[in-house]
Amino acid sequence: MRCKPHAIAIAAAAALLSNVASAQDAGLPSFAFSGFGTVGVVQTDTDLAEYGIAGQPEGATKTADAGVDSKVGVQGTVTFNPMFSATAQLLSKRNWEAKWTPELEWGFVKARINDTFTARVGRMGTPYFMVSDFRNVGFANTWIRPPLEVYNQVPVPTFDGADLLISHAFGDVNVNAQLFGGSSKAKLPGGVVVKAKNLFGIAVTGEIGPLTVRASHSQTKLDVDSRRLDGLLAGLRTVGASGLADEMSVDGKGATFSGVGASLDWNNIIASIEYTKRRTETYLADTTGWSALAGYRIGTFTPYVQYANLRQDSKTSVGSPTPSPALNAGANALYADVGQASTALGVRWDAYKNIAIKAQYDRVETHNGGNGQFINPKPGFGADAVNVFAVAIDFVW
Amino acid sequence: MFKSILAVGLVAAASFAHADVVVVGNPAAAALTKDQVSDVFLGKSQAFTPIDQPDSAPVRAEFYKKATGRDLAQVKATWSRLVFTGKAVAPKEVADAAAVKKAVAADPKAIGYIDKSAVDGSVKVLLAVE
Repeated sequence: MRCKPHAIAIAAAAALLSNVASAQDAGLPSFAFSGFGTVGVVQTDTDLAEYGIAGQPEGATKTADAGVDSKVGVQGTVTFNPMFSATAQLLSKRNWEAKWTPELEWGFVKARINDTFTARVGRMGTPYFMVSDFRNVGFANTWIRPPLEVYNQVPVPTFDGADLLISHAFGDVNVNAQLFGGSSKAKLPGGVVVKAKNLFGIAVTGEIGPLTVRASHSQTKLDVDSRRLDGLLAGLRTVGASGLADEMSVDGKGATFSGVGASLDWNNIIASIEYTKRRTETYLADTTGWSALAGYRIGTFTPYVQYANLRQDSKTSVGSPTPSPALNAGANALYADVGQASTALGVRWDAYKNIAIKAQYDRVETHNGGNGQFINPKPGFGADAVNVFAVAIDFVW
Repeated sequence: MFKSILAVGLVAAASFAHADVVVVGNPAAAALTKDQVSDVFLGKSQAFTPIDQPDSAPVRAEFYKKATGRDLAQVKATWSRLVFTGKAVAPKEVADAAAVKKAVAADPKAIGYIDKSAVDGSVKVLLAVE
């Protein structure tokens, strides 16, 4: 067994060398550089809460905000030979502390073993969702932003580890499977750090002509570094509510995320549907998020409608488990209903071969008068639906 | 006189609008089906290496419309899904039909598209795109 790494290294070196001859014919190594971005502005009709994407500490109100949807990414790929390549992508968008520090979104080495198998090692997007891989690339999508009711459920977009991509055609059906494993970490507003360890999962897609169907499942052990949470749990334990503290704590407990979806791109019709479930054994809510979109291409214009709904399946209150109103309020805040639904109308205009201009209107209603996915809610929020207006320019080069 | 000029003009316009596009490959390559070509140029299959012509070349829009049923903006969106997830590198773009022929003649895995009138002995027609 001791010689195994050695053998792998030799095999890799041999593969590299054997590819050199053909690589020279095809003009390799080669370098490809590309990028994408969005400039978008969002405005709502309320000042009682802010509209933003999970992981952002602030968002749009009656005052227009260019930080919700705007972003820019650059990517370089070096193809060493027909087998090995390396890709890095830097992405700058409003982060957990409202800064625009570029982050390494992708950074991996890829080995194309043959037409069926491809292996990658490094940092990659976690394939929780239908479009998790390219959710930041507005140009590649019909909508302005992924539906928050589905995509906000997992605000940890990338993982560090390895994956195996398997691609095979069964008759007219192209099947792609991705097996992945690793760990991931994300900083959230308030200095909270979410970690996913022992992350394993699978995503399978089948393409039959214009129809794509997809199913995915992943499981992990979660950790949350949060002084506020630690303080609250310690407080609960001091007053004898250890049962509740144990139930709420995260400390390496399991979590799963599963989804099914389908998308259609047939003649001028675009449609997609996605249904997902998040399950944890912690204070973090069990949720079901789903969305459906339909659009119709008329020349360079694609008007579309979308409906999305996030439902909290677990309890939304713990009542008054302790004599301390402060501790009770703290615990109940973490269990508060995160559900909301939104109906959107929008249009995408392919203004130029690599530029799309979009306008989208969302009407968002939180469930049971809660705060839903809104940021920094103030007392009185939740009674009325919120109207959200957005325009965006997406580009790729 | 006027009628015959008009007739010639119409014929020329008609033949321009219905320019025949062919997929060409290395002389050693085997014929391909439209589905295979579509899969390669939309990044679904990596069995061959696609060679593109520039956006400004009319044959490009014509080829994609006929072979994949998609216009260039849709094709660009499709590729951006693959490129920005590191799944594939966008097709190599060369200057014109002559450069396409040179590229496919040199690489048995490369395939490209050109106007039928540009075909010569250096390449083999793998598919007539209609």
